[in-house]
Amino acid sequence: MAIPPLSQGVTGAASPVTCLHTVQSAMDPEGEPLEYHAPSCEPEALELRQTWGEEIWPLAGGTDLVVRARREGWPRALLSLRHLPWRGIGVTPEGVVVGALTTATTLEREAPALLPLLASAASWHGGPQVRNRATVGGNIANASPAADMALALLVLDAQVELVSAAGARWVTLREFFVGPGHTILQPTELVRAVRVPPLPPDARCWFRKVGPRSRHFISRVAVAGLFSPGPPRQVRIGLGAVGPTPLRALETERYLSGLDRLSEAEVEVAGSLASAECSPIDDVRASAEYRRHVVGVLVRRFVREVIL
Amino acid sequence: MNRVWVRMEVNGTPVTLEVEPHERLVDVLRTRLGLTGTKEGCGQGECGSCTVLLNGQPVDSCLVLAAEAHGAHVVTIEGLGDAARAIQAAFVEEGAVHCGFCTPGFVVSVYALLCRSRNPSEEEVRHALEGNLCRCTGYAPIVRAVRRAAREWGERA
Repeated sequence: MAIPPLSQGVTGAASPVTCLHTVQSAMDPEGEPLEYHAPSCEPEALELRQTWGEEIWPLAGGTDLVVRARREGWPRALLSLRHLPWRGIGVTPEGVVVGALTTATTLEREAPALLPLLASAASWHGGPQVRNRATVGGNIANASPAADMALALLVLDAQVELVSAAGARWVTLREFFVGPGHTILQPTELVRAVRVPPLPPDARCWFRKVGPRSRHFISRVAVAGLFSPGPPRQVRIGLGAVGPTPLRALETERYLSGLDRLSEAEVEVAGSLASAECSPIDDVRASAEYRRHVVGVLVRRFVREVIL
Repeated sequence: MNRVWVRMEVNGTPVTLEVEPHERLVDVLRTRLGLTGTKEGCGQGECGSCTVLLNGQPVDSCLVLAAEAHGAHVVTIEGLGDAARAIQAAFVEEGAVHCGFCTPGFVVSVYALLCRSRNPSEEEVRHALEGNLCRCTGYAPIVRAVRRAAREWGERA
């Protein structure tokens, strides 16, 4: 595995050179002026987004955006969402709706009863300082393949609401993610909310991520699982950081959902199926081989702890 | 850049400043306000040296743009005052201060923890300090210090 260049800030303990580099690039951003807008209401925000398109970056908690901008350069403009009322958790006939600006801390504390898997993923989303700022909408819109809350939502069959000056639309999270950092969000749109369809009442959830600290790291591998004995028997498995987007392990799900009883033999098969379903790469955090192996380990653990 | 007016309360004192959009709260605190108790260790939200309270919640001030703190109450290590004495004393007595660079960030995080949870278990302590790194102590003295401080807070309350 190649040694990454310093500017990528790999393991968190940044060298002084890295620090100085990022401070200087922010203090002297080259050329372009940077405008900051903090609209007080939704129509104003949507108009700004309509006018500026790709050149304005929506800013929620900033836990990804500020790091990226200081490393790679600031956009022409920032669209602060902080005044918008897109916060909180509500129950509707179509499911539980969570405002895009709801922080990981709020989800950790207030969502366990309604959305146990999302609350769990949110509690794994870094340390308190990050969880107090990071938002579910930002996590989705940022579209990192290693996104934790997005992985949980993928397993929950969530939909996301995209809003623009022209109106609003709901899309499934599965179709939302296209590739690393790429989504179907149009330059005129903003993520306003996510919605989780009603879960089977006997659903049991499980979430684990693997990395160098307890929770405060970008996942090397993450697995989110849901099991409902039913009938109908339902198994859902999400795999994070092992593909261009968060993935559902559909083959593994079909296999496990189709079994009446499980023994250790079937657990082994499930782990192997999941390992085969992911497409990890070597990167600064882990090798593809390691990731494939750990997918198998975590999926087998999920099956043993939740289904067996 | 369009400069932005920001009014916030820092350690109980109202502050009004004009900031640049990319200026971070850690920059304002250290450079504009001279509050150098808050440290910048990584500038990436990994180490927690820059931890301050924003509306009562611990945040990495290196990730908060100053403009985003308009209207907020910010408390830095300097602003914790008497409430932090028990924490600081416990840190010293348990040998949880070596180079001291991480200490302000830890003390702010610990203060926030003890405000929420008067008698945290070891697991709760470690969970609450997840966002703070120490390269010197190996964390065991820090965890002991926090539990000691919690007992002393409990005795005073």
